[in-house]
Amino acid sequence: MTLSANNVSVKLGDAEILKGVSCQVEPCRTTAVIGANGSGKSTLLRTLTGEYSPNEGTVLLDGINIASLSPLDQAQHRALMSQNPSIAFDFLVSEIIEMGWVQDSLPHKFLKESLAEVSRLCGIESFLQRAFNGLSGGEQQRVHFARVLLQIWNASHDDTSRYLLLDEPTSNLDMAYELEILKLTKLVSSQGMGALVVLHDLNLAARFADFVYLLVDGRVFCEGTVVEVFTEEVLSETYQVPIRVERHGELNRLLVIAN
Amino acid sequence: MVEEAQNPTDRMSWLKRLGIVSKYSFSTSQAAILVGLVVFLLVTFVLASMTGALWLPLFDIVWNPSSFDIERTIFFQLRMPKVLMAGVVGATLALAGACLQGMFRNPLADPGLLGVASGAALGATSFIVLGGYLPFPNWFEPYGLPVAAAIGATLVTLFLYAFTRRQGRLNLVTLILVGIAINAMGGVGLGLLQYASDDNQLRSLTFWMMGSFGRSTWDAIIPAFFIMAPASYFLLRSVRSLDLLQLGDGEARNLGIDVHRVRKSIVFGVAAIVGAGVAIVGMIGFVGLVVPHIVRLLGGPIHRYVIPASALLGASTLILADLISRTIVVPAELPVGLVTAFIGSPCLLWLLLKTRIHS
Repeated sequence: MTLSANNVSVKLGDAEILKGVSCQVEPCRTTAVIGANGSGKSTLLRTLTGEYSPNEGTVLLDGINIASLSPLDQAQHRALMSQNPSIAFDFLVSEIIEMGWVQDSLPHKFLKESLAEVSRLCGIESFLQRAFNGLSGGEQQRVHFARVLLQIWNASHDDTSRYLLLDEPTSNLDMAYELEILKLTKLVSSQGMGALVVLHDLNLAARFADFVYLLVDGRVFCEGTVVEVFTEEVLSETYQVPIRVERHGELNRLLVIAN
Repeated sequence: MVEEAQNPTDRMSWLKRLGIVSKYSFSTSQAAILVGLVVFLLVTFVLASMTGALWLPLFDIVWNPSSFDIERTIFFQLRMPKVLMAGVVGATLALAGACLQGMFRNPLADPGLLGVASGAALGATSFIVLGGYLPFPNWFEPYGLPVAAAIGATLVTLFLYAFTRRQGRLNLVTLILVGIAINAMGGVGLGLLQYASDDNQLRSLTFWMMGSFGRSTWDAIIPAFFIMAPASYFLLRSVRSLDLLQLGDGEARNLGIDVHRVRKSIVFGVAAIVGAGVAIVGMIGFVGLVVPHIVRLLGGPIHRYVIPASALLGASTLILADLISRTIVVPAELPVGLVTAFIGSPCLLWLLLKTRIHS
């Protein structure tokens, strides 16, 4: 039960962005993808969602090639949170979240229940009936997160696996929201979802990831647990700046500091 | 699962099976608005059927047909097809407008935008001006105008299709720009034809371009219905996709929508509706633009409500506009396009003002 890229190469135009990348998103685990700008992180994510089809290699969703799955089948098992889309019309918050509901075959009752659970989890129950465009950026982000969660919410408690993919979810958030989104991601992954997060901020990756893929120039340069990947040699070489990695005694986690 | 049969969406399961209503129910206020619009449509329909140059006592005609022979003929052969046509054209134009605005994620999109209306207009104008020189058999005469307009609309649609296909995918910016170009070319064509036409033709042209239900006979309605019904069905099917498209193409795709297929069915559905509509009643603006706006102001932008509500309000709006055009200068008739433009343009200005304040 994984979402996996197997030896995947992706060409966009003439440029080969991914060169034989393999990675796995496993249930109950938060996996982070890190790497410098242009290393292929987002492309990898969008290959896993089927937006880009690989020139070589396969993407498997629980063992099935996603090329053979319908868009709806895929949508029911994996969701992508990307940059905040702006909304032209004045939708209510609850209507935006409902857009994530793709479990067509389930009765209405499940939508109501799941919507309530998801919005409680994201702390947005109080403004479900407010206009989405009237919310602050951070609140909007939380609403989108709730929508993405609803998309793969296991409403009927079946035994299929779900995967949550986040593309730099924290890029336009202040620190508090950043932490909140990642804490929520961690929470749902601890309850059984597989999560894959593309992150710029190495300290966030060090804090939240159970497993890390470090991409360099379209290849997996290094993979493993945080302790295995976050070494001064590896990070300094990747980012081409001297980087220090220290363990914070009180917090008991790795801190990454650029010199 | 048996107890689920009680919930509101399951009661609409036949609509669900047709793919028209998704699994969500309407909010109470949206349901109330929809019911209100149905009632409003019925009232305007009855009112418009009775009122005109001659007052038709509708109920007497229905209950006591033998004593109202002339009235009955007028009702069934003249009044009824006109009112029906106004309703059908109004409903489909508003439907097309709502779908385009949703697809373009732009509240100012309009069925005329794609250039299909221009194509239809050019086809019809060509027939008015040049038709006399061509050896058509007599029986073809009444069909000439709608056929020519439909050909114009179809040609533009095929051109749109070929052009956007050549570019690989249906790009929205390209589509709008191509629409602008087609509108400009259509304008040149119309100008040339007007320049080349004689006095009689010019008069006929002018009236047609202002929009009129004068040619709405059963012969015209039935073929139009066969074009509009399947096109409307395709548009009605896309309500949920339209909501998801508001999140952007990428997000809609991630939510399981085949974005290109949805766009295609909307573009061609709108083309068919606008082509058939223009062919029979000429150019009627603003319904497709303003009606969906009013609907959104009343009950919000969710498309499972906006689409049917727009169709209902569009039908009553054009029936009323036609009623005004028939009664305001009795026994003459004002072109209905003038009435919609007279009501519609201040509405548009107000919308623009409001949109600016919003952003």
